[in-house]
Amino acid sequence: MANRPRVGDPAPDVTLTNRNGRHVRLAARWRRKPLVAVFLCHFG
Amino acid sequence: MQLRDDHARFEEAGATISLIGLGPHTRALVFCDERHVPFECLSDPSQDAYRAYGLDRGSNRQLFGPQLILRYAKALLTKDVEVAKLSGDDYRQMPGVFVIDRGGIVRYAHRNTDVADNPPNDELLDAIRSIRRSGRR
Repeated sequence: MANRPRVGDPAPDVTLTNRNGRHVRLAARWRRKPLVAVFLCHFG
Repeated sequence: MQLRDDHARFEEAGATISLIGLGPHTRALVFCDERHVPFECLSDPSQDAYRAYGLDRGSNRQLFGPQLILRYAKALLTKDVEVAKLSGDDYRQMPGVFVIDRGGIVRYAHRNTDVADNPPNDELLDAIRSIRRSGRR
């Protein structure tokens, strides 16, 4: 797999859906404070 | 959820936490409201974000290995995992955690080797503090 960002690499700015169903960019979450992005195995 | 237990410590360290899950955003809403999750919950129905971060789909051993049986049993007993909810999701999707600094650089990367292999909170907090110590971010 080509995409496998490691420590020191730029983090991919992906588009996600927020709780209102709107599209949001992950980069907007790390601009003000460091971000802990937790990818779950599923919701529930 | 162990992250929630240390919510105050993450706040003190000056970090934002975002949870990213599979399925539609309505599922995320129910999950986060039921558990009073104090973090933002985001959805990735297409799994494009998982792929972009190099999170693979798990093998049978990673998903159902002997080291996991006890954990599943415990989770079922405490209703922490409702197996019925797995049916609509890609249950093979492996989880992971990334700490990203304000410049958009990955400062910590953890891809689970099995579904129970979550990183300790102290490891994440250390990564956040080291960003602070570096002074730039």
